[in-house]
Amino acid sequence: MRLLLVEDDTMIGESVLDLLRDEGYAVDWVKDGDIALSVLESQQYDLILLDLGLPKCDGLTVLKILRDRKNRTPVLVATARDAIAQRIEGLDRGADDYVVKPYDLGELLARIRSLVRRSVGRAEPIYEYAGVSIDPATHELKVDGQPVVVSAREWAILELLLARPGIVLSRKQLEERLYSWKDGVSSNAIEVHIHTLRKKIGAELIQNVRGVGYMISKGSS
Amino acid sequence: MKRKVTNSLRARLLLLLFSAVVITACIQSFIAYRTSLDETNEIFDYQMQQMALSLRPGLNFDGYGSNGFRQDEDESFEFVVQISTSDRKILFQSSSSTTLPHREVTGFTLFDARGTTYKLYTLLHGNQLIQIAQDRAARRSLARNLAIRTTIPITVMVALLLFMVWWVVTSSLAPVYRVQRQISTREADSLDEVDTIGLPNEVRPLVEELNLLLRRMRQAFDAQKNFVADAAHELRSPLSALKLQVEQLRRSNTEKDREVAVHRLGTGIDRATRLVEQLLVLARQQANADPNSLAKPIEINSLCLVAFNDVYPLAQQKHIDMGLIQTDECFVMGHEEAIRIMLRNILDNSVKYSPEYSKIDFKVIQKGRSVCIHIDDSGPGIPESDSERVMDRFYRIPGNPVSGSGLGLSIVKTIADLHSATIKILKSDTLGGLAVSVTFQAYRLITTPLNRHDKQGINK
Repeated sequence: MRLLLVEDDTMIGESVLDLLRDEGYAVDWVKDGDIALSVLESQQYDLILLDLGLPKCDGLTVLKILRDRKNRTPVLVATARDAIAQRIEGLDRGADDYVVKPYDLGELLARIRSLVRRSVGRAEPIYEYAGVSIDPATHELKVDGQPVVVSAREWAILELLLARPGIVLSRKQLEERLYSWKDGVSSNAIEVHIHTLRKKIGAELIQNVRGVGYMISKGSS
Repeated sequence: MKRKVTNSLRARLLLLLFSAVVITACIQSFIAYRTSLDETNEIFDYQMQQMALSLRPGLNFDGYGSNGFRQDEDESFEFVVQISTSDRKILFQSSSSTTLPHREVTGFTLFDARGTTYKLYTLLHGNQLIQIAQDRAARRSLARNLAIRTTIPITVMVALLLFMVWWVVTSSLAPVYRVQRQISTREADSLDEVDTIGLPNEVRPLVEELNLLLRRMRQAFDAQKNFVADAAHELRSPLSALKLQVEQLRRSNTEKDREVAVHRLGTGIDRATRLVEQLLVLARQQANADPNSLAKPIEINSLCLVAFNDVYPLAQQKHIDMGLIQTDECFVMGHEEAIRIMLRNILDNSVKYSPEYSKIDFKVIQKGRSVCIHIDDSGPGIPESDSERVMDRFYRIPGNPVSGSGLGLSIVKTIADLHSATIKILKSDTLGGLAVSVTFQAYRLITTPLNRHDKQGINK
């Protein structure tokens, strides 16, 4: 999952960035509204974590421009200003959820998971398919009821594929959603992760569609 | 209830005008009634006289029997005519039942007959006595009827007048009632101004004053709202950072991660500490708002030197060339510690926002009766539109990348106000950044024995 963090407070920004990365998210951090908007023109994110009091172009304006562009990326607003009127305005301008600083990290992560889940059209918190189940909240992977340990990247790939079984994701798509600008990506990183993942959960679940990419095959149930 | 009526302008106007109209109408009716009564009396008298005169030529006494003209059956005749000779021989009598008393003088008299009073007119003509009598009761009721009829138009006029008074009063006061309605039906927290269109000159100033008050209230309300929002932001952000930093420390597994987390937590705590300190300084200065408490003459240039030395190490870290380029020897009346805090905050600000290897100029200038402290830097400056708000507590210019409490300039402002000094925030002419100038009233030392204790105070 790739997130965009828009936050002008350096201290808050660097902590959130590290904490989210530890959770396995690929995170890009920008400090003002203008940069956020230009980044969003070229890059697709799974969620935007948006502060409202931003330099150059404030958060509400970013939100409005984003929605005017018909960008449907879930937006979680995090701000220290708690006036109800502002909260209402934020939600009405197209924000999907709202947390007031200082927020609890656990709550923030839960809200991120819930928004991501909803944005792919799911309500159930645990992804389960063909005997494989993953729980984004606890990062537990089970195959036929047996817990399996995988690395953060492997887990991230599996989460993306399991979110929508039957949909083929290209290597480039996977790369984009797994790595932020900071991460150096080696050319065959995805293949390596898929290879180890297949070893751990069984080779037949993840199908290689030649020349296109990977998918969880629908017929395998 | 009585009080309510007399307090209402409309009710009072209506009551007074109605009373005036009714009283005038009553007097007018009374006069008209009396006049018309008198006039009808005169007309009736004149009529009787004319009737008597017209009977002068005499009657043909032989033509009809002496009493042949009597009409006994009709007793309701108002007038009774009788002609007699001077020796009381009745020649003609219009009513058999009423014989008029014999009078020898021409003129009006009264007499009673048949249970009523008659008015009698006697005309002596030769040896004939022509007499006309009229029932006074009938005559009066006729007169009264006529008189009453003259008052009917007055009654109609009164009704019309009352209606017009009501209409004029109500329509003149309508704008006032509109304002009242506008105010009473608005929402409790609405501070919108009241419409003054169509208001009479007597009420307009009142409503305009009310509008001014509402405007001031709205400004105060907005300022308060801004303050709360800014304070929420500035107080929560450091806490937010602390909370995340603690979380990070809790989650760090390796020694290296822990080191980073501890370092970050330390800077977070420093930031929160600075904020609390600035808040306390501000509160202390605001509590110290009595300008005369323990104010002493202060030699400002030596105080500037102290503040300069406080900040100099920070400037050196950023390789900023900070210089005291003019120091006139001058005194101001004030609180030493407060002014030092003020100068320090201005200098801190300049150092914080100035780029590395830039320049800060510091001047103390005495011009006539004023002492001016000038600080120029080459930082980003403050846009003109923000130069007022920047002194509000917790206000930070949007997009300000430097972390701070948002209280520095409001501390400066509070202390300046305490000393009746004026602050100007401008663009620096010499260095292109911010130019802050604080102007005090100079304190003149008069070297007479009387003021010796002042000098001692300074030497301390």
